[in-house]
Amino acid sequence: MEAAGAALAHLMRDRFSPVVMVLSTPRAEESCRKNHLGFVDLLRPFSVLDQINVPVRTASEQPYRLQDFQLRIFNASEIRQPSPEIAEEHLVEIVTNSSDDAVGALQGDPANIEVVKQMAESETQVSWFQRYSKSFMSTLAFSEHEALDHPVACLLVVSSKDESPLSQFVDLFNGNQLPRLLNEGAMDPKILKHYVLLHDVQDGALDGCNEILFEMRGAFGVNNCGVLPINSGAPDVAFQLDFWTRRSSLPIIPSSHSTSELVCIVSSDVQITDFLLDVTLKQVIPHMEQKIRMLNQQVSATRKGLKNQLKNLWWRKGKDDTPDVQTGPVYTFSSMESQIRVLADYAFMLRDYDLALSNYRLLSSDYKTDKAWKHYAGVQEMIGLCLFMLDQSRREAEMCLDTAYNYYQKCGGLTAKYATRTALWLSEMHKARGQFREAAGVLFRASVEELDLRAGVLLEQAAYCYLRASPPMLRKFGFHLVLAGNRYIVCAQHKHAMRVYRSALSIFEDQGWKYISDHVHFHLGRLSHFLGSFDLAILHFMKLISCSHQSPTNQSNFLREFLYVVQNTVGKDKLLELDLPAVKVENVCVHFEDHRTYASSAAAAAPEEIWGPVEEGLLPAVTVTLHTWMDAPSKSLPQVKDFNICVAGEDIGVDVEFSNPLQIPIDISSICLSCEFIETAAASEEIDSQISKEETADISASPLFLPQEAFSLKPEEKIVVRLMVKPLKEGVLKVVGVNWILSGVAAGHRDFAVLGPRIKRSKSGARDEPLPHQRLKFHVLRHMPRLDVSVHELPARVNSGELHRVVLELYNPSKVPVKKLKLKSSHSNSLLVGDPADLDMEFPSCLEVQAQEGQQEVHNAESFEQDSSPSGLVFSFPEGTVLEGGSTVLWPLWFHASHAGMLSINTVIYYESDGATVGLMYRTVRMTHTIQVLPALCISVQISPSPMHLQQFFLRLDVENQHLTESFWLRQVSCAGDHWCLAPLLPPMVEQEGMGGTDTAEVRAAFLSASVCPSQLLPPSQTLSLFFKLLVAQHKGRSSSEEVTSNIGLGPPSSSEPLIDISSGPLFRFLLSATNPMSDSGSVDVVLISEQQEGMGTVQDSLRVGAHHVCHCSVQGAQPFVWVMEAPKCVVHDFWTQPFCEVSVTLTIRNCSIFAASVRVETLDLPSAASSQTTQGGWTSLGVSTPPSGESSKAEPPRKSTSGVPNTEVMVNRASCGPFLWCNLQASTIHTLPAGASAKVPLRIAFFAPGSYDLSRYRISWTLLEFEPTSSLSTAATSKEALGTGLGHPLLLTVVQSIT
Amino acid sequence: MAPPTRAGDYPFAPVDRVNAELFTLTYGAIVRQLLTDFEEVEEVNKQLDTMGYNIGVRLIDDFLAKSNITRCSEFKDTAEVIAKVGFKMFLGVSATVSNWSADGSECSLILDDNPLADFVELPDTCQGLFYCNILCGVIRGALEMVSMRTEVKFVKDMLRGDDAFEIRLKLLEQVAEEYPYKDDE
Amino acid sequence: MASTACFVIVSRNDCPIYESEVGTAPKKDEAAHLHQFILHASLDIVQDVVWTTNAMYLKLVDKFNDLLVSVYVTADTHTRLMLLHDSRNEDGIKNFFQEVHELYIKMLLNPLYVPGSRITSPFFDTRVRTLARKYL
Repeated sequence: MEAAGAALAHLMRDRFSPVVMVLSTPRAEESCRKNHLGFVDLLRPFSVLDQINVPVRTASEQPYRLQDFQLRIFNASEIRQPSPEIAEEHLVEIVTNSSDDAVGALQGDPANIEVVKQMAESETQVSWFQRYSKSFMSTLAFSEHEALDHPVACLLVVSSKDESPLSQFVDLFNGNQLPRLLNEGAMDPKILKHYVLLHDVQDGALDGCNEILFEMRGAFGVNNCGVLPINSGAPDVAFQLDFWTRRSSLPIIPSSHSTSELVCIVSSDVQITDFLLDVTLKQVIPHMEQKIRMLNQQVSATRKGLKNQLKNLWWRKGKDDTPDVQTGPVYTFSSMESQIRVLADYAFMLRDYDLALSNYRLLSSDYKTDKAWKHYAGVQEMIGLCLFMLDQSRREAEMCLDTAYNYYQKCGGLTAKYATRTALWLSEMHKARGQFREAAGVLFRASVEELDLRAGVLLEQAAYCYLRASPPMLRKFGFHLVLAGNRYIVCAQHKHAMRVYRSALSIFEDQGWKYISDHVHFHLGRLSHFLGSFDLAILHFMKLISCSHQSPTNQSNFLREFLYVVQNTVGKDKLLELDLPAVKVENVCVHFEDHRTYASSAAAAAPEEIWGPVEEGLLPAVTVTLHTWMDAPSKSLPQVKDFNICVAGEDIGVDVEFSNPLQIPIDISSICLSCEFIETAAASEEIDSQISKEETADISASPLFLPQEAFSLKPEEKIVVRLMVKPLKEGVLKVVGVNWILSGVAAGHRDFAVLGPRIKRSKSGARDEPLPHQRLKFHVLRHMPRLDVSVHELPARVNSGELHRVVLELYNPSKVPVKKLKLKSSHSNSLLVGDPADLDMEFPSCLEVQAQEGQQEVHNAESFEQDSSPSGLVFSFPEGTVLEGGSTVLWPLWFHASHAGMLSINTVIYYESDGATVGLMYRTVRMTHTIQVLPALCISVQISPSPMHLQQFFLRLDVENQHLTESFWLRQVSCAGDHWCLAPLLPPMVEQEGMGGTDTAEVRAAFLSASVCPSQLLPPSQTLSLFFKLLVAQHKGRSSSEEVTSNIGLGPPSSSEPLIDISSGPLFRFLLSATNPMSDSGSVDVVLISEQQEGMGTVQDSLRVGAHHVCHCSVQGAQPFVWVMEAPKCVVHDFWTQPFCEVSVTLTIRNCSIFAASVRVETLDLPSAASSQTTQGGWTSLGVSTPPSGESSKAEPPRKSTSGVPNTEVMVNRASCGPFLWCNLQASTIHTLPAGASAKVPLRIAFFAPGSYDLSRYRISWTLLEFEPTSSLSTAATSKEALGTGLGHPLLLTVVQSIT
Repeated sequence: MAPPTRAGDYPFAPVDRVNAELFTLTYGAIVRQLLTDFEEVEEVNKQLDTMGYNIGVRLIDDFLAKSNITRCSEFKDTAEVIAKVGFKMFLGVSATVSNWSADGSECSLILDDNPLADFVELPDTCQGLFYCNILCGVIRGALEMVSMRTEVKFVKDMLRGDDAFEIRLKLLEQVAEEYPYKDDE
Repeated sequence: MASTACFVIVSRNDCPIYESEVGTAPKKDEAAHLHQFILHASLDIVQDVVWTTNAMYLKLVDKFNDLLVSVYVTADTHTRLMLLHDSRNEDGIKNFFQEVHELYIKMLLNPLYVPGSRITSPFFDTRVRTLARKYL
C-alpha cells in the first residue's frame, strides 16, 4: 500500500508541476531541427530535476527543502485545450493501438484467471490504461477554472542568427500567438519572462553572441537572460536514442517527435541541464515563492479575521442578485477568488499542502455561495488531493472527491469529463489504499455516465479491481468484464472485446448459469469469427446450438449464426463433434447375422434362449465351428474370436436414437455410419485403419457400402433409425460412430461409446455381445449364401385337430449352390415335412386312399431320421437336393395341432455352402410362427367287451363340438394299426347277406346315417355319440386292402366321398408322433376325421379336414374277464347202448384287464336248492329279460338252427331236464394269465338222459396280480377290487336219443 | 369378528410407533436405491413387490397374534380385515373395500391417504413407477400364508394424478397346502 | 406486484437449481441473461454478507442500476433463494421467501429428489408463481 501510495503521490506531483511556456523564433527552431526536434522536445527530457536540495519558504517562516522538482514545458501553441473531437479521437487512437500490447501485457492465455490476476496486480505506469488515463487527463488540462496548468514562466528563445535579436524578443511576446488563457484574462498576463539566446555552435564560436547577450542584459535585466549553445560535439547515436526515449514523456498532441538520430548535441546535454536547473532555481521557484507570499498577505489582509469574514459575507449577499449561470460567474484573474486559487495552486505545486488546503477550503465556501459549481467542484477535487498528499482523514478526502464528482456531473456537458477525472483520482486513491471494491464501485459509477469507449475502459478496470479484491470477487469480475466487452463491441474495439470476453469465459463456463454462458459463447463466437479465427468461432457456437432452455427465436438465431460461420469457413469437409441432434451414443443396438440368419424380423426379435433346444442335434458341436472359422482364410488375424462374425455382402444394422433438443425443427441429411475397415490382406499393419477411415468418406473407393439416411426432426422429437453398413470385402470392420450433415451445411460426427450391459440389467432382445469393445467390431468373412425362407399358406388361427398343408419355400439368391439342408422344428408333432409328391395333387384329395409307394419310403426315411436325432425330429432333405444359385425349392409341410392354445413354432433350417473355402462352414435360418389353435371337436372313446365274443368289443365314440361358432361334418371314423378293425353295428340281416359286397355299402351307409349317426353335421357345443363294433383283426400283417375295413365313412349315402387313408401319409405320421411307439397291442387308436367348409357357399377347395386322435384307449368292461364256453349245440346219443353220454366242452377265458391275473375255474355240482335257484334264475333271465343287442344277435342263431323246436317244446324239454355231471376236476386254476391273453380250459360233461341242458353251472374267480389301487390309469379295473367272481353264461345243449 | 374399526384400534394401541418422517424417508431411501440399482422402473416395481412379499409372509403371524382374529373363511372377510385392521395396524390408516366383482373373487382396497407416499412426487424419469408397490407384495405374501393365492396390483395411484390409491385384489385360488414361492415370478 | 422479478434458487455449489421469471413484465430474451448476470455477480456480495448476520433473510444485498437483489439463505444447506426485483417491498419479499423456503423443505423430503439437483417439479413451479403473485 505504501508503495502504491508513493507511486500515486509521485504521479500527482509530476501531473501538477509548474508549466513553462516557450516562445521561439523560426530560426531558433530551425537550428534545433538539425536534431529533428523542436526546442521544446529538446528541453523536455531534462525537465525532471532530482538531487536538487533547494530551500523553499512559502507563507510560513521556516523554509523546507525540495529534493526534486519538475517542469512541464510546452510550446505556446500547445497551451490550450484541444477541441473535444480531436481529444476523443486521439483517445480512441490510443485505445485502438494499445489493443495488442494489452494482450501482450498479460503473459499467457487470457482465459486463464491467474494470468489476468497477475497482470492486474503488476499494474505499472506503462500499462496501457495508465497511458490512457494520463492522456485523458492531459486533454482536460489548461482549463480556466484551475490555475494549476497556467504557465508560471515563459521562455523567449531567439537564435543568435536572427538579426536584431532584441526586437525579435520584443515582438515574440505579443498577443497574437499567446494562448487564450492570457489573452482572455483568465490568468495574469504579467508573467515571469526569461530571455534565451540560442546559439548554434556549428555556425561559429560562442563569443559572437556575447555582445548580444550584453545588450539583452541591458534591456531585460541581468537575471532574466541567458545563452544556450547547442549542436556541439559528435553524434553518438546509440546512446542518444535510448537516452531520449527514456527521458522523453509523451506530449499531449503528438508532435513530430521522431527519435531519429540526434546529430550533435551530446556535449550540450550537460549545458541544457545546467540551463534548466538555472532557470528553475534562480527564476521559477523564487518567483513562485514570492508570488505566494504576496498573495498570502493579500488574502489574509482581506479575508482572514472576523471583520473580513462578515464583510465578505455581506458582500456576497450583495452579489446574490446576479443571475447565476450554470457555470457560475466568470472570475477574471484580478478577482479575489482567482487570486486565492492561484495562491493555493502555487502552494500545491511547491508542495506546501497545508497552505494549499487552507486556501482551497477558504475558496470552496466562496464558490459554493456563488453557486459556481464547476469552480467549486475543482476546488473540492484539489482538497481531496491535498488531503491524500497529507495522508489525513481519508474519509474526508473521499467525500471531497465525491462531491467534486457530483458537482462536475451536475454541470454536465464537457465538464462531465472532469467528473470522470475525479473518479479516476478517487479510484487510484482507493487502489493505493487497497480498497479495491470501493475503487471498482467508483469506476463503475463513472462508467455509467461516460461514452461507450471510456465506459468500456473504466468497466474493465473496475473488473480488475474486483479481481484484486481480497477475497477476489470473481463473479463481479466476470460480470464487469462482460459489461466492458459489450461497450467495446459497441464501439468496434473487437480485439479488446475478445480479450475481456475470453477472460470472462473461465468464470462462467460450466456453472449451470446457462443464459450467461450462452451469452458469452455467442459473443466470443461472433468476435472470433470477425477476427478470423474460425475454429474458435465454431467451437463457441457448437456450445450454443443445443440450448434447449433458450426461446425458439434465440435457438434459431444461434443455429443460423453457427451455420453461417460453418458455411463460410470449413463447410462440410470438417467433421464436428456436434451434439445437435443429440445421439444416444451409449446404447446402440446392433443387428447382424453370422451363421445364424433370420427369416423374419419376428424371428430376429425372439430371445436367443429359445433356439438352443431347437438347434441341438442340428448343428455341429461348437468347438468344431470355432475350428472351422479359425481355418478360414482370415486366420492371420489376432484374437479373431473377440470379434463378431459377419459375412461380406450382407447388411449390418445399427439402431441409433436421434433426438432434437430444440423447439425448432431441424433437418438432417446423409446420415451414415462411420467405420474403420482393415482388409484382411493389410490386416497386419494397423496404419491402414486410418487410411481406410479416410476412404469411408467417399463410398465408391471404400470396401464398404454405407447407405445414407435423411430425415427431419420436429421440435423435441426422438426417433430411432437403423443405419446399415455392408462390407463388400473380407477384413475387419469396426463401426466407430455416426456422421451426418446438419441442415445441409455442417457435417456432424459422434463416436459410439458403447458400454457393456450393466449389472442386474435385464438382457435386451438384441443379440449384443457381452463385452463392450466387441459389439461394434466385426470380422467380415468371405461371401456365404444366405437362403431366403418363407412359409406359405400357414393360417394364423386354426381349429384343433385341423390338418393343413403349408408350403416351405427356399430361395437361394446367391451364386453358390447350397447343400446338406436339414430342418428341425420345436414342435415336431405339429409340423411335419411332407414329400414333394404331396405338392402335385390338390389338398384334401391327396389324403385319400391310393397306391402309396413313394410315401412308404419317405416315411421309412423319416423313421430312420427320427431315431438318429436324440430330441425331436430332424428332417434332412434327401441327399440329392442341392439348391443351385438363384433357384427356388418348394417343399410341403404338414401342420396339425392337436391341442388348443397359442402355439409358437420355432423352426431352424441348416445348410452348408457348396463352395469349398468359405468362412463359415454352415448357416442356419431361423423361423418362428405363432398360431392360435381354437378348441374344436373333442372326442372320447369307451370300449367295452362284448360278453359273448372274445374278439369283439363295443366302441362308443362321444364327439363334442367345443368350437363357439363353427360346425363340423363328421366324415370318417378309423382305428389305426392293423390289430383292429372297425365295423358298424348293423342289424343282423344286413350282416347276413353279402358280406363285404360293394352294393351293401350304400345300405350300410344309409343305416348308419339313419340310426348310428342321425346327422353328420355337428353344430357348435353339441355332443354326439356313435357306436361301433371293434373286432380283433384275424391275421396279423394283412395287406392294406383289408385294412380299409378299419375305416368307416360317415358321409350321407348320396355323397360317395372316398375314405381317407390314415395308415400312411401325413395323418399316419401325426398319429405316430401322437402315440410314441405303439407299445401294447391291447390299446386302440381311434381317429375321427371331420371336415368343414368355411361358410356355406364357398368353393370346394377351401375344404378343411380335421383329424382327431384318441390313443391308447383300452377295453374297459364291467368286469376284466370274458369267458365263453364252446360246445356243440346238439348231441345225438343212444342211451340204450350207452347209459350216459360224455361231451367235451372248452371254456375260453380272456383277460381284458391291463394286469396279469390268476384265474380259477370251478364247476358246480348237482344243483342244491341254491344252485337250482340260480339255474332257475338263469332260465328266467334267459326267457324274460330283453337281452342286449349283442346278446340277442348271438342268441338268435341257435334258436333258428333248431328251427323245428318251438318255444313250448323247449319248455317241455326244460321241464324234463335231468341232471348232468362234470366229469373233470372240481376246479382248475390258471396261475398267470397275462393281460389281453386268453386261455382254454377243457371240460367234460356226462349226461344221463336226453334233454336240453343249461351248462351255466360253473364259476370263475380271479385275482389280479401286481394290482395297486393308486394307479395313474383311470380304467375301470382300478376302481374295481382286485378279486372277483362270475357265474357261467347260460348255454343250452340238447341231447337227443338216437333212433335206432 | 368384531366391528372392524374397533378391531383395528385394539391391536393398534399396543403397537409402538415410529416417527412418520423417519419411516417415510426410510422407505423412500429404499426405493431410490432400487432405482439406482435397476435402471428400469418395471424392475423396481417387481423388486418392491418381492420385498413386500417377503415382509408379508413374516408379518402375517405377527398380525394374527396381535389382532386376535379368527382365521376368516370367506374372501370377503379377509379383504375387510386387511382394509380395516391390517392397514390400521401397520400404516395407521384404514382403507375401504369396494367395487367387488360379480363372482366375489375381486375387490379394490381404496386408500385416501398413504403415509408411504407423503411428500413424494414422481419425476419424469420415474414415470410408470408404482411407488407403493411394496404394499401389494405384503398383502400377497400375507394372504399366501393363509392359503389364498392372490394377484395384487395398483390400479390407481395418487402419485400418477389419480384421486386415490386403489389396490386391486384378485383371488386366484384358495389352495389347501402352502404354495411354493418361486423367486423368478 | 413487481413489474420485473426474477427468482432463482442457487444450490450450495453456486449453480441455479430453479429459475423463474415471476414479473408481470413480458419476458424478454436479452433480459434473461442480464438477470442471471446480476444475480450471479451478487453471489459475491452474499458470501460476504452471510457471515455478518445469522438471520436467514439478508435483505437487500446488491443492486445494478435500478434492479435490486434480495437474498434469503437457508440455514441448513447453504442454499440461497435470490430475488431480483425493481420495487422495494421488504415484508412482501420476506414472506415470499419464507413460504418458498417451506416449499423447498417439502421438496427436500421427496425421496426421489436428489438434493442439489435441478427442481423440475411442475407442482413446485406453480406454487412458487402463485406465491409470487400473492406477495410481490
